[in-house]
Amino acid sequence: MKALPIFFKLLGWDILREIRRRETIPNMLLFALLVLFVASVGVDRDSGVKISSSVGPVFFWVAILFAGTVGLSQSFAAEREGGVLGGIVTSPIDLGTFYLAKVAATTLYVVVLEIALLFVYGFFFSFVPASQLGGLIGAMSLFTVGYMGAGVVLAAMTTTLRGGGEVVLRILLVPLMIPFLWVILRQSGLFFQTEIAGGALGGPLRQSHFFTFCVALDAIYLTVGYLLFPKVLE
Amino acid sequence: MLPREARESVGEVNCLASPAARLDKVRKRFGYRDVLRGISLEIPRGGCFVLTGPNGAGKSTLVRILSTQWSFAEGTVEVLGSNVKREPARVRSRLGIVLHESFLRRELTLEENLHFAAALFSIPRSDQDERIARLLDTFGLTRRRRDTVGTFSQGMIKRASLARSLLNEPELWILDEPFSGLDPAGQELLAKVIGDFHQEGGNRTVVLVTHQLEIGRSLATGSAQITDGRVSHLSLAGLALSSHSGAPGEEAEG
Repeated sequence: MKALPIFFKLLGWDILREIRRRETIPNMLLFALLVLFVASVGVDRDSGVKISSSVGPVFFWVAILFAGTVGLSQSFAAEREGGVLGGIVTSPIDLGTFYLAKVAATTLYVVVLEIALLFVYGFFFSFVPASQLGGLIGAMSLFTVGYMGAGVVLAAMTTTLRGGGEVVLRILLVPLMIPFLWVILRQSGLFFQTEIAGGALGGPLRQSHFFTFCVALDAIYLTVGYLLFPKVLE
Repeated sequence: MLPREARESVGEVNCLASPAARLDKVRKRFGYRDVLRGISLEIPRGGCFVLTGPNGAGKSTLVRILSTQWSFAEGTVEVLGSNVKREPARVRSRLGIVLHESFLRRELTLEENLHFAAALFSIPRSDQDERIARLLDTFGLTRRRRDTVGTFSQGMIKRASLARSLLNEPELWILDEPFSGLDPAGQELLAKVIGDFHQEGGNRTVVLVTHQLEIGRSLATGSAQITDGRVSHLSLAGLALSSHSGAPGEEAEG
């Protein structure tokens, strides 16, 4: 069976479902907006500290991280409704192809969220990293591929739990992303033209090293996910 | 394995070398509870093999294992001559499955759902429209083909699920309580479709789980009663019932 046509079919059906239901992206966006809003009003603006150059980028990534788990849970809850997932598992397709299509679909939704969130960030924190926008979007995309690569496997496991398993998903997923978050936060010093956490994480990497590191992490997450996902479903 | 007498009967009922399904000492456990306790069973090719038994006996677990949806701890399962653990894709491509879930996306129209299923089974686009039209007609769904499944009643969803399961023209049709949710006309229609499926299609086989013993009796060419994760009664000519499973015409326990 040819994997590529099936991949695009599954991706297409997922996007069609999202267009019809309008659930995953709006819910993620609402969650992320609330995080940034609370962060923006919770910091003393009169203290003389420029928020955007200190904790703002941290809140930005926290919003993406937790909104991503909302999206993953919603996406898999939709697959379980009516036993759709069972229908896919009992069809003769390679479940690894289904995994890659699911990663591609959720990555797309989260990247859309991230781009929207950049504007929101600019509004709340009065700062848009215009000169570094290309690099930031590239970093966000690479982070999201790895994040969804790990998240799709864990979401397939946890959505069977009572209450959708969103809390368990976060508990399992966030520690897995620590290596990625560490380099992303370091690099955010460059993207947001500031020093993150007072430089405690270390300075930004050379761009080429940073992107190589991200691609390597993506390859690890995707390979492990591709191999594990069919076992999880079965 | 089956007792010797039963294996000889299999030979009388069916001339093909490999049965439709063969389970050998299959064990399935949920937590600390054994749902299937080393079950062995051969389902002959051709005909309608009915599985009966009380709730919680392990019938649905057995069909989920046959349909490759669930794994199992011990034993061997062969479906249509293929080992389900070694060649799951080969088995899946030859099965039609109706379980308690519909496998349908509620936000898509019925036609879109069937095209989605057809794509999963790599049915050529040129054949899809003809097959879908035929199955919609068979199950009386043609008028609702452009409605989203979310607007369907339970009975309509069941009909749609049945249509979906036949898209790939399966050799083995596994049906778990397919009559539940159907009105009398729908039940009569389904009984006819099941009969046609195995009578007109060479060695095509139906595995039917049902509590509706009257319908089961009319369709069965062989049967097994599952009790507490084991085969308690076996018949290769009609419906097997133990004394506590209800008289003909009644519903079994649960």
